[in-house]
Amino acid sequence: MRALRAELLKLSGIPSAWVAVVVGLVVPFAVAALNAGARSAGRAAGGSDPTGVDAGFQELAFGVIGVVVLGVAAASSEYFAEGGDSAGGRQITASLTAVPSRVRFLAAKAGALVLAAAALAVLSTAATLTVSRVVPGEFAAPLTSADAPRVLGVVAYWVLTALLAHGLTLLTRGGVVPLVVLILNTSVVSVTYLLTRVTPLANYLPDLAGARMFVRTFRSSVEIPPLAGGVVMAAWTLALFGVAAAVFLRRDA
Amino acid sequence: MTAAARLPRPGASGASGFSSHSGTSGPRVVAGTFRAEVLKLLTLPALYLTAAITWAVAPLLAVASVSAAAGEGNGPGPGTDPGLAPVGYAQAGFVVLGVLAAASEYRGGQIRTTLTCVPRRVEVQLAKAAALAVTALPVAVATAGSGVLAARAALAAHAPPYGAAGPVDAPGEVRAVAGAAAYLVLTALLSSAVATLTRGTIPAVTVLLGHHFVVGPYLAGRTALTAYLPGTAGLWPGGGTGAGEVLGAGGRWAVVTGWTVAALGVAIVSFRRRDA
Repeated sequence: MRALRAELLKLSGIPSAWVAVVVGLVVPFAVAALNAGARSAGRAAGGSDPTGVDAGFQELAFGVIGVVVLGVAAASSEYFAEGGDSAGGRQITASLTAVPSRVRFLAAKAGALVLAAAALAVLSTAATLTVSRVVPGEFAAPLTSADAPRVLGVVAYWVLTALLAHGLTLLTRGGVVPLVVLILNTSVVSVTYLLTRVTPLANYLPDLAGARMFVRTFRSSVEIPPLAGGVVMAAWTLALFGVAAAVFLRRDA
Repeated sequence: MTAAARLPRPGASGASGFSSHSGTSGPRVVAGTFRAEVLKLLTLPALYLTAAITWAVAPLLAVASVSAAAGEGNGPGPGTDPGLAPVGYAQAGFVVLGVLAAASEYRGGQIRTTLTCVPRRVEVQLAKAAALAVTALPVAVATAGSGVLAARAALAAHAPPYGAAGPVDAPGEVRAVAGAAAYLVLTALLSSAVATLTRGTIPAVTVLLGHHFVVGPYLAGRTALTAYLPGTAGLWPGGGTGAGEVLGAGGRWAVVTGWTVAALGVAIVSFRRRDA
């Protein structure tokens, strides 16, 4: 418990983590507001609205870069320090001196990350869904209780993505490679989406399968129910984090 | 020659090139500093790795994205332009190149060593920018060249309007490669300026890639404002909106260059004023 508190405190002391919070809150909110404005204008002019049911959710799917940065920063900050005052310290040695059990250390670290990512996801989801429903006014597709599982899906997607990014960074120890891979893959035409054109199996990659939890309109020939998508993503996360943990337990710090 | 023999004699003003009090001229300091900065870049293993991965992966992704865009039956546009499509993914590599080049000074306090050797902050930054441009250029030409060729070959497999309808027009190809390479070098410079401001790789990479790959493309279809933002949208007529041309070719290059120059300017001013 004390290790968890310490990890939360450490996380809040990383400047990049605050960059992550700002990105995670502002990006989906701002784009959703812009889209909602464009959408209500289009609807008022009599146009159709094919993405109405995904309004807000679509934006949250790529707002996930906020927690990607959070997961990367939480791991890479242990291995290098940058900035005007840094003398190139490796914090991991101090961390493991304080918490010598690597299992306990990793559990505390993952726990702190899950809490922070979930909190960020809840705040960002609330803000984004609100703006995407308020701006179009009477044209908005109202949120019903049937949408509650989708909101849970967004939070699960963000938390699992944070853990994926964290696991990847524990393996590479540097932040650049995981950041490039994961941000490029959040772009409008993602690498995994290009892969689905080569093989339908690519639909079962973690990001595409996980997004089924809350995005309803997909340009894809493969149908994956929301719950199954979540299970597929959780399995990927568990596997990757398992490998990262095994490596972390065995490798010199 | 012994080390002692190479040291400047006391009173031999300007002989060493880094004395700030002896009236050494600015250009000489910049020339010496430039050589040192190129040497520093060439001894960073991370830069070789980044360049190699970019050169190897970008053409593959260019082929995949061009085929996907053509396969969807989109009309000829930014996604199927063989001169521009390869730049899309390759620019990630040049963002990393620029960020690593600048942020490597902020690991282990190397910046203080640099400024002890050359206590002239503006000249150091100018030399750094020139060194980065010179080292990034060959990588950019190689990446753009292979990317344009790969995209062209991938498009040739599709029916017109994508397939090569006529003979290959050599000046057009050279222009496409030169434009793409110039854009990639400017991207590296812009990225190094951002990293000089953030003094860290992660915030700089987040902001730049987040803009170039997530926010920029997403806004491009919705507002013509993106024509005035940095990023590839600035290279396309109409900022990629498909709503007609917002800026002429000259205007588009002015936007891309303007952002880079402005960012370098802000970085130099802040570097001059901040504690190192």
